[in-house]
Amino acid sequence: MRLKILSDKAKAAIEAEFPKYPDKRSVLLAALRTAQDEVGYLSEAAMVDVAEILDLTPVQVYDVASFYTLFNLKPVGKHVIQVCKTLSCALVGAGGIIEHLQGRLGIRVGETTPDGLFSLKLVECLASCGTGPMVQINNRYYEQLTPEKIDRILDDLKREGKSSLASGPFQLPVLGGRS
Amino acid sequence: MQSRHVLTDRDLLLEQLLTVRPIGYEEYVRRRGYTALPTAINTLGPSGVLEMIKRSGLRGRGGAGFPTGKKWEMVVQRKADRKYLCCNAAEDEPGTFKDRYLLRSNPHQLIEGAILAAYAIGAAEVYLYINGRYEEEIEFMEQALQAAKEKGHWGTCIEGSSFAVELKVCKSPGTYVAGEETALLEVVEGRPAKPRQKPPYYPAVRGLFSMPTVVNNAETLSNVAHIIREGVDWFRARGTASSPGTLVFTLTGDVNRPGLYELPLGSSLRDLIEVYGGGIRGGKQLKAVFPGGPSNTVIAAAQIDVALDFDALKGIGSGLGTGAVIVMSEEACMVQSAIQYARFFAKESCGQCPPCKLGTAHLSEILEKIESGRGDEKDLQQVEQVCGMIKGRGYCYLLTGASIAVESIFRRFREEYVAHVKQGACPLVGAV
Ligand code: FES
Repeated sequence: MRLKILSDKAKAAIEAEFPKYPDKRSVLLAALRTAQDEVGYLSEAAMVDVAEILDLTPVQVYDVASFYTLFNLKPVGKHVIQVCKTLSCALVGAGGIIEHLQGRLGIRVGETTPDGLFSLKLVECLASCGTGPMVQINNRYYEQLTPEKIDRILDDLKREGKSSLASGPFQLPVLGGRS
Repeated sequence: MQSRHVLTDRDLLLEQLLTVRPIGYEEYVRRRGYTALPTAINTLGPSGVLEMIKRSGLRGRGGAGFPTGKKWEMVVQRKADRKYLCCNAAEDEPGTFKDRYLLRSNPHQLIEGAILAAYAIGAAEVYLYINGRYEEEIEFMEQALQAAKEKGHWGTCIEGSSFAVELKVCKSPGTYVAGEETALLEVVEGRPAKPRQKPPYYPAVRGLFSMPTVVNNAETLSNVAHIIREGVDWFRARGTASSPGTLVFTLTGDVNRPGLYELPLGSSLRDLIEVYGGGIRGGKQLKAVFPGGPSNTVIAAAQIDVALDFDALKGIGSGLGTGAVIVMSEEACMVQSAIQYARFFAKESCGQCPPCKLGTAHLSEILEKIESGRGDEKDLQQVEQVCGMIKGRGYCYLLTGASIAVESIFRRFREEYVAHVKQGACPLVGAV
């Protein structure tokens, strides 16, 4: 059967995982990551394709896809902002960051801006607890945030699609302690 | 005096992690890395490795502190076609980030430890289960695995013997419950991360793909090669008799120098906070500490001379957990912190056990009511009632952990809760 939406490249990437496990089903999470990376979110067509490649039923695929917050079953903005709201971050001001983001973007948590640029999500601990408040935007981390820093990041992303304020995972762009 | 650093080169403030680059293959070998493996294969044999780990007294660093040798032995004793080893580096517990650092700074010490463990328990396959958000670390790990394979440390005919083992990376989905050891097995098998019912699904009996399986934490496995190479006495020279060795502590919250500190087990909590962490931020008073992440009881400022080891903390009704120490100053609201935990557990519940999904959500509602000043005497009673009701329920420890944490905050800081009700508001708002 021909695939509906996934490319041959994606299919090959998924099949490359097969030798790791005794059965195809185990590849499901990796396959869903690949599909989401390619399509942007897990559309029905993408899930049907994954089911086809792994010899599963679409329901089995949906069951797993819908269980994890990691997977988006609906289209999301170009930049998905995930704010950590867990204790260590909350102690150093995650709440204010969330409010500031909602105000600046004009959306509530769980929504996407009308121009399709930004989605806002709350998540639990992302293992940067000593450098909070922090957010993950797509695959980059931004740490030791202040409202001003957030403004600059949003402007950068709007203008250039990326920001120099990103800290590669675990790499702060600016050295120096928190005051 | 022996250095207190075994797994790490030095203590690090988070800001300094910028400078951390992984120890590459050559450097690891220069430090006598990959010498434990030939010793194990040519001299000790699987039972010799197991014996050494048992005598070393190494205890699991993933939270429970179960003796590692015993865990291995349970799988060794089972007859099965296949056995598996899973290294748990899912790390989704609030306040901890050390697996990430261990992966980043020294992937080979983990790889060698995992190969030795697989050898001891007779596993031909190892899954390195790593938090999927750790993109860079996973990349480093893949490179390190490749380098180790090229040099013949894993694959087939290891050290010229008939021992063969495959190591493969599996990304965790980055949710708290996915780090629970039976939920982890579900994820590797491609299913939702729902913990299995125990009994009958003990990993040692019916684990991954229904085969006997050992699940070890990344820090636990990182110790193994050192123990085999340097010996049991060397390992036992640090730490206490019942909690030997060092632990990598992650210190966060209201301290001047949050960061990562490797200390011998049995060091005092006061030293960690005052000497290493530089004391409380802004010259404030210490109010409370969560010494072991979110599933252990809170301890009050007066108790900070407690020793950081599995048994001493248990002795005062708390626990070491994974060594995620969260510090709170006098300005922290203890109703807020209980809300944080309750919400965390409510959100992270996998949903398969009703008391968990409903109980934790109910708990956050009551707490939020109290925090907002709308609570009354009945709500105060309810906090304890709900905690009592959910404790010990569910397939996994999540629910009990939630109730232990929230109940301890409530009991220890009851007057603060009463103050919220009496004043009709949070007394600490605007205190900063
Ligand atoms: S609490 Fe926010 S990253 Fe850990």
